[in-house]
Amino acid sequence: MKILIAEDDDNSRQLLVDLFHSKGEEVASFDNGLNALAYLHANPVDLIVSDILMPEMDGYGLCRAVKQNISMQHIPFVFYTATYTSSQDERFAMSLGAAAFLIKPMDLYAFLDVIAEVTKKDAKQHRAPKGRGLYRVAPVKFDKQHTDLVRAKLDKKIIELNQERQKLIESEARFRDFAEASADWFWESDAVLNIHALSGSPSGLSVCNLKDIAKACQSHLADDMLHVLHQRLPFSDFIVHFVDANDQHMYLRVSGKPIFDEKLNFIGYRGVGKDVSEMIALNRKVEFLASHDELTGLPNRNVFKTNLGLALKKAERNLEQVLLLYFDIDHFKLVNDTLGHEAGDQLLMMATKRIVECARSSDVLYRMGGDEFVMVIESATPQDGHRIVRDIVKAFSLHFEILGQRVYTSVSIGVSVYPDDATDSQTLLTYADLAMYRTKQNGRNSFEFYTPNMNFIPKQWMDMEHGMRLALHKDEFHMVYQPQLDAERNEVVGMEALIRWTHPDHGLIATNELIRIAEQSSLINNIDDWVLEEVCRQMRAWIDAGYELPRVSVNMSARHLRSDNLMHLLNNIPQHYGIDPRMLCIEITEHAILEESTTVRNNMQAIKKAGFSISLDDFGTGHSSLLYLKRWAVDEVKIDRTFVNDLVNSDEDRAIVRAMVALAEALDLDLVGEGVENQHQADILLASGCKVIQGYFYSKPVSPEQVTHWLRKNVN
Amino acid sequence: MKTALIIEDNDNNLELIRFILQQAGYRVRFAMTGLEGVQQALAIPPDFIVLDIQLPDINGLEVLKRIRANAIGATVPIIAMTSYAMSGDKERLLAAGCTSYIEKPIDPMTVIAQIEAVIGKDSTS
Repeated sequence: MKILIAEDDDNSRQLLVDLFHSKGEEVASFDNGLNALAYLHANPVDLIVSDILMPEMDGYGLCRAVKQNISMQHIPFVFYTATYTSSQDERFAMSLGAAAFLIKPMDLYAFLDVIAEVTKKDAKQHRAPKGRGLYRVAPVKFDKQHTDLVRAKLDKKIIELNQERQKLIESEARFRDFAEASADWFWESDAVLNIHALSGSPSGLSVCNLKDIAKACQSHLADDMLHVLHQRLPFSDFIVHFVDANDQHMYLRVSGKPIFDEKLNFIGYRGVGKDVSEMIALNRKVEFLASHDELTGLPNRNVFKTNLGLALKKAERNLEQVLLLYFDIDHFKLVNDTLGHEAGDQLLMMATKRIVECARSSDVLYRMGGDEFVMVIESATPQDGHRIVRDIVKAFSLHFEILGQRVYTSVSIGVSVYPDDATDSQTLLTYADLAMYRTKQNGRNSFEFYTPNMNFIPKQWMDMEHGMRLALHKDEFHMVYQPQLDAERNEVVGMEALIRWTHPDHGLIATNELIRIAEQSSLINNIDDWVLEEVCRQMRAWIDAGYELPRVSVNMSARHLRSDNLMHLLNNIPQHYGIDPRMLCIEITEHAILEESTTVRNNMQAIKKAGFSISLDDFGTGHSSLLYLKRWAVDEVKIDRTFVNDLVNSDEDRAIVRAMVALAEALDLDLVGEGVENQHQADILLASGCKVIQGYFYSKPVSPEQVTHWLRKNVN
Repeated sequence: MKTALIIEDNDNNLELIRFILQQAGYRVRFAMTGLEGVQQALAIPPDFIVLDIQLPDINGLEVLKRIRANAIGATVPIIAMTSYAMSGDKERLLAAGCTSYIEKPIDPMTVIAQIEAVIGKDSTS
């Protein structure tokens, strides 16, 4: 059996073809009525299966043509048509002579059953033609019915298409909303990579070709991306950087995939982009904060260490010099304490600005903390350094305007030079710091280049001060006692308590040296405290052991004498140990009372009032007037060892001592001769009227144990 | 508002003069030692200075000399306060560059007038 199929829908046509083929039938198929009809004129078939709506000639037209043609009218004509059919459709079809009117989709077995029945019926009809003749449908009537039906069908189809279209519009709108709500923007490019944004492209983005975007990638990725684009490969999350028309930096994260037409020709890219400027800026801010000082915006100590290391390596390669400048703002603490932290902060910011303005743009300033700054000057000679530091010092000669106040400050600078002074960062920094320290010592407001002789003195000095601080906690100090002998009665009348320091590295430190260092810092007060406490503790121990004690003299520093704390100390510590102030003599040096000072005077009066006696040490070396001796109620003066030394040879010194003795007698003062080293000196003193002597001649300073031994002997 | 720097080591006196100046509408800073006073006067110059002559470290005369020796402090009005009754003190102070001189004990009712006679009435207060 040969079957003709007229169906414009490819899928439906193919389905029918396959179906009939599978049944072993021969099939001719066409996608419109006109072609089918042309075929029928030349080729006899046994069955026609046709759709209704087809281009050129529809199913109705084909059916009418077949049924009106004498040579074809016997061929059974089956309509197999899609939805949107009405009963009118079927009636009209049957009126045209169709054998059956089937509606898609239909169970294929049922379909085949109908086909089989139709062809069988047709065979019968062939055998016994009813002579029914041609289906002659009047043209006017056909046209009208045909037109009406087709129009109704088309209207229906239009409605359905409209509904479909509406759904698509809604869907598209939905996706557009999503797209617009997202931070991403969407873009497409053509085959030559010119891009156009579909939504939300970042304002100010002037780039319109993917290759430009590729070139804006971070340098090492640009080639990668160009390669990717060249190979038409997908890419994702490339970060690209632009500067827009307003000089704003913009970072985009771009992903895309290539698109191809049905013939696999590359037609462009399609993808998304996202403005990640804020995220990048935030990341950078975090990085910046970790490595920079928030107040001045300068890189901090950590960055300095790294950068100086790099600078030194570079200088080594290029055989260049590197200068390290260490700055300290003079009077910063004063400004901070007087005008407040806000003023201090402003001063730091303004000072930073002045320093930076004097340097080259390549010279980086770092804030090391507080008011200390460091600058690294690369590829420069010390002559360049001189020029720069001179400029900086000069820049500070103009006052600062801070919180409506004029502030005059200056800067102290120390400079060290690589590789001349040192080749490693740490040493260079230490040397620059030492040089800065020297500048401060020399009166600030200037600069010093490091020289090797700076290395030793201040460093040793600082080490000693540091060591002294530690010594206070580590019990490295101890006391010794030097007896004072009444030479006439051969009786010990007093002891001077003296501090000793056994330094773990340097051994016993000279007392003079110790006091000199301590007086440079506030440490002297701590040491005075320690001494008084230790002496009182020791005296308590001796008293508790039942010994009778002579008076003990304790040295008090000039600095302490100017302090408001002195009386607090003197009132509390002896009391704590139950020591009667009359058993203690406070020794002060002559220069301590030289300054006309209310505090000193008040302290002196309070010491007396509390019951202590006062001894004036080193008498005759300073310029104390007799008036002071009287005004401040000194009890005792000690003839300085410088006079005692030459007593044997110098008539002058002997005269001085005699005058002192006369003075002491006139003012009713006790007198002690210090530094007596031999019998000769002792004799002269005694002959002059100074009875009490202290010195190696009688006894060197001895340990508390030796004192105990001697006290025990005394009791017995 | 003009700023006064009081250099005075005695708490009570400092409190009194500070109170009087603040009531009169001046901004007041102070230093309790001579060295600190010199430093402040030169680093953060006030509009005028009220200087006690008896100070714990360097005395007022020395403070005066050091301030005057520096260009920054050459012209700032300095009003000395002292209870020294000895003759010649006033002359020594004036010779050292002191602008004016108030004898202690100060009279709270008239001290502002005495100061303003030297520095001029503060038009901005």
